[in-house]
Amino acid sequence: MGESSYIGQFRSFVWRWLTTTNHKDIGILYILTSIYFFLAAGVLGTLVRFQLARPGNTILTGNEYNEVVTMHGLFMLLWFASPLAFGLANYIVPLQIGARDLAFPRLNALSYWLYLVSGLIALISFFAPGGTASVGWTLYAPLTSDIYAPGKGLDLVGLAIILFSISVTLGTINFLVTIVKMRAPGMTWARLPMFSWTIVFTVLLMLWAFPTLIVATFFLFMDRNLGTRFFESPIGGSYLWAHLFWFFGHPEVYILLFPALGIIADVISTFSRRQLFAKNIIVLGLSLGTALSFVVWVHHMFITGIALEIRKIQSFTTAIISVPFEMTVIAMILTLWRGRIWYTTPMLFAIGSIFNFIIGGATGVFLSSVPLDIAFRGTYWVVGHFHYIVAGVITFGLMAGLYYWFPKITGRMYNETLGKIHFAIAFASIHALYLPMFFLMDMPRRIYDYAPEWATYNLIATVGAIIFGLSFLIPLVNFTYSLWRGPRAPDNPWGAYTMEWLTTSPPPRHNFEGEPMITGDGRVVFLAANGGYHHHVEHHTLAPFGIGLGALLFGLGLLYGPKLFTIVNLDVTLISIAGILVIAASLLKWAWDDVHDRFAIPEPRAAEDWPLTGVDKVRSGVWVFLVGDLFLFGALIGTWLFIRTRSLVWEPGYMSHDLAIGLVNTFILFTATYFYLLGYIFLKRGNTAAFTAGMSLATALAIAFLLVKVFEWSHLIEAGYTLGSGLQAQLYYTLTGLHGAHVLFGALATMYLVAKALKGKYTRDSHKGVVEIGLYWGMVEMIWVFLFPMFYLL
Amino acid sequence: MVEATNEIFWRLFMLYLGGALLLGGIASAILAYLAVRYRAASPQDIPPDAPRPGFMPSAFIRTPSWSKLLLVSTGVIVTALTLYSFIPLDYLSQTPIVQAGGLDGGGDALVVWVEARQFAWIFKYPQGFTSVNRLVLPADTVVEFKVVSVDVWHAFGIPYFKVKVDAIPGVVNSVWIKTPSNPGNYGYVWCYELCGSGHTIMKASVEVVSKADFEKWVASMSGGG
Repeated sequence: MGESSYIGQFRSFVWRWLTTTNHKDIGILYILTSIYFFLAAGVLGTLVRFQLARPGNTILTGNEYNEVVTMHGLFMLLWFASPLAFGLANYIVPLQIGARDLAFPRLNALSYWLYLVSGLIALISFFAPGGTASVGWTLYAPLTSDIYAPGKGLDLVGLAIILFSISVTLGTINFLVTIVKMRAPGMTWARLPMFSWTIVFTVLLMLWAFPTLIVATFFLFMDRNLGTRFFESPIGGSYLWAHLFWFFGHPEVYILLFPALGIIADVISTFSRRQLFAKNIIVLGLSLGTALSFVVWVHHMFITGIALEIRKIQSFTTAIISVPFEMTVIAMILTLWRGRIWYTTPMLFAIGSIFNFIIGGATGVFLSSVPLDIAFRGTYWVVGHFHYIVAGVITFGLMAGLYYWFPKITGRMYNETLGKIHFAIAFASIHALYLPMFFLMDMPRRIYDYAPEWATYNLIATVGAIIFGLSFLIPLVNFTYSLWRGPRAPDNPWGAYTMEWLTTSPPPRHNFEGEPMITGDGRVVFLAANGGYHHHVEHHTLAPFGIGLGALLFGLGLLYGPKLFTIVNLDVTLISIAGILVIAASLLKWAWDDVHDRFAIPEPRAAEDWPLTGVDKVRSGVWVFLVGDLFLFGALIGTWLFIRTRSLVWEPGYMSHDLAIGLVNTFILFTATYFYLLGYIFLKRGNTAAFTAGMSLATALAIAFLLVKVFEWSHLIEAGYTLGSGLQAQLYYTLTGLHGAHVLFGALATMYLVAKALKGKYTRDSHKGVVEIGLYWGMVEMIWVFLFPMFYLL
Repeated sequence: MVEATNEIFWRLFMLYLGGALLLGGIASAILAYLAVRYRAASPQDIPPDAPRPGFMPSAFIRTPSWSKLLLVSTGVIVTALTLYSFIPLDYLSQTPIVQAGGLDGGGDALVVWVEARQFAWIFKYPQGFTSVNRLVLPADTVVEFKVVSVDVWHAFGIPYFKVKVDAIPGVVNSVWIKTPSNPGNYGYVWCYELCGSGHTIMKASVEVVSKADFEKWVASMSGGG
């Protein structure tokens, strides 16, 4: 710092925000970015309503209308709702649990930059020749194939979804480890505020759901560019997409809903001066909902011709899964009982969202009944129902959160009158917008023109949409003005009891003066600084931003740039290659910083940290990652099973793979991990030289594995057995290819250990990373145990 | 006596609507009552047992036992309704008169093959002719549709009859209706799954005619081509 010129100030400002790893900074970045995408998606949604204002409107052509509908859905669900929730969670959760930051600050920064870049790539897709994706946000196959949806727009959207999913998965690891490991002493699971609780359930769902989306979107990208036919196959290709998509898609509904419910619960508790009614039962109920959300996805497929028994089972599970949410609503209502309700803007939004939840929930119950769903599937009844949830509950809940925490985040009070006006207009207009849709129970979704008898309700909805949309200009003005001129916010303007209110507004960089701790009877005390609590080091790094920038270049390269070469149908450009190089350089910088221990953060004082007792932060993170990885391969092996059970005889062109090569590689892989283990045993005995040797041998063998793979593949390709050779071939290349990528990453990670060992950083007692990467090798080996029989024996 | 699919729908719908209005109404009324009854006189109006700043309460608080019943009450009702709807589901899942061959085969059943394509409905009648975007049906007849797609995923639905089934490439799905006894126009077949830029224009008129008129129409279609 210290530059006097404006340019210098500007430069340090930019540098600060590009390199920050502080959870509060990143929370603010998330919030601002998600609000931008909210406005973009809101404009698209309003365009839809303009087109539908009267029958016969010609504002948009059929294809333009489909683009607008598709991107409205994707932006709202992926780039607005979850990221705003995670912006608030980024800022608030560490404060609520008494932590100084998230467990992995750099990973958090990377999550943000990948999120921003994924959204930008989705925006850029509008400028692709032929426009952006126009296939609906559910991307039903085979409409998404390059035959029916040519052009790069959908490819860019696919890439954006993959990048977003990666960002989410990293965030999952971060939040799960943070909330399990970094709660202040005494912040037991039973005392954890509802918002933090719902974030736990949300990230668990994300960890299990998003890997499937990554796999599905990756298949789609390959289908369109590399000649595979996962979703174009006449043998169940359409079903495969629907199953994969909804296996992700239903949990996604709760991923969106849970954080909003958490906010609403905290806000209602604060302003009614009561604890959440039956909080323990609600937490149990929501954990049941989390688990059950993976066995209800077929209710999105009731009319696809799936067996009656399966439909009945999933109809029943759908009814059961509604129970925790009904319980939550009732508990929130009962929280008001004997309270003293202080009506502020966040409280109004919270109460309003409960009312909307009653309407959205009740109309959703109709859809759990198969005979009624047969009639309502694909109609405006469904549109009305889920908009009551996503706009009426989720957006209202997030608005409650924004108003509620605005004083904490900015240190300023917003204007209460303007806030109440916003609520009044939004609450009145949302019913004008969505209630008429239930009367349009016959009108198909995603049509740009309709029968004259549907005109009145459509017009009412459009008027409602305009008012509802404009109402969001009020908070925009309110927040901007208050940021600049609002009265200073006290530490705890609402008299709330959760811990984020026990520090200044805005909180200091290290969050709390003194070390927070909760005594047995629930009192929050702040211990005087000892053990270096105040010694909070701000880490700055450009590597996460660099990875994001590289990803952006890679995406741009799909559209622009001089072509270098072509893989099947995919043109690889100079810009894409540059992007990959920027990513590689940034990763190298990241690893280099680690080799030099530049980011070593002391372990937090463990609270009650079940189920990760005695496991440190990094190893906890690796465990969480491996669970996500397991789901990734689960989706792949599920796809293999799906295809295998439907086509008992492989297509012509199938050739069995050379068992000898398979056995050789199995031997190599197992020997590599054997040397790894041996090296670790030597390290435990203090023999670092033997450790280095063991790791080097393991790396060499991993590379040998890859060389054998290259040899095997090149022979197969020479024999004409390529990605496009049929169902078996595409599964073989995809699954063993992804496994190969895992081996490559393992080799790089082991090289990192060698580098660190050569620097003399490892001793018998201090060897962070060795066990963690060993766990990873165990996973790679285990997957091979599955893949080997799948492709070499069966 | 075969019951029409739309009648089955409306009866079940009314049952659900009644339940939803009743339960939703009660919940909303309680919400409104509590929200008004327990409003604070001022922000400083705080009950003595309120959770205080600087004190984190535990979740393990005692709740009255009646509340547990209340919490699961709607869940029990919803589950009961879902189980009850398996009865009409079973009925809808099978065409009441299972025989192919159409009018000539005896019995009042007609099997029409429906081919969905971007962006038209093609109806193949058992008499061997096809009709594009025009579905003509005899009155008071059970009609089974065998729905296929030749390109992308569509969904075949007729709002009046409240039935719908997906048209998926490589799959034959079936759905049945019973036509009313009054001849007339019964709206359109619409496509209920986004199928491309012409999704909106993918509709076919639904005309129910008397059985005699239907025979005449069949004769004219067969003769003409």
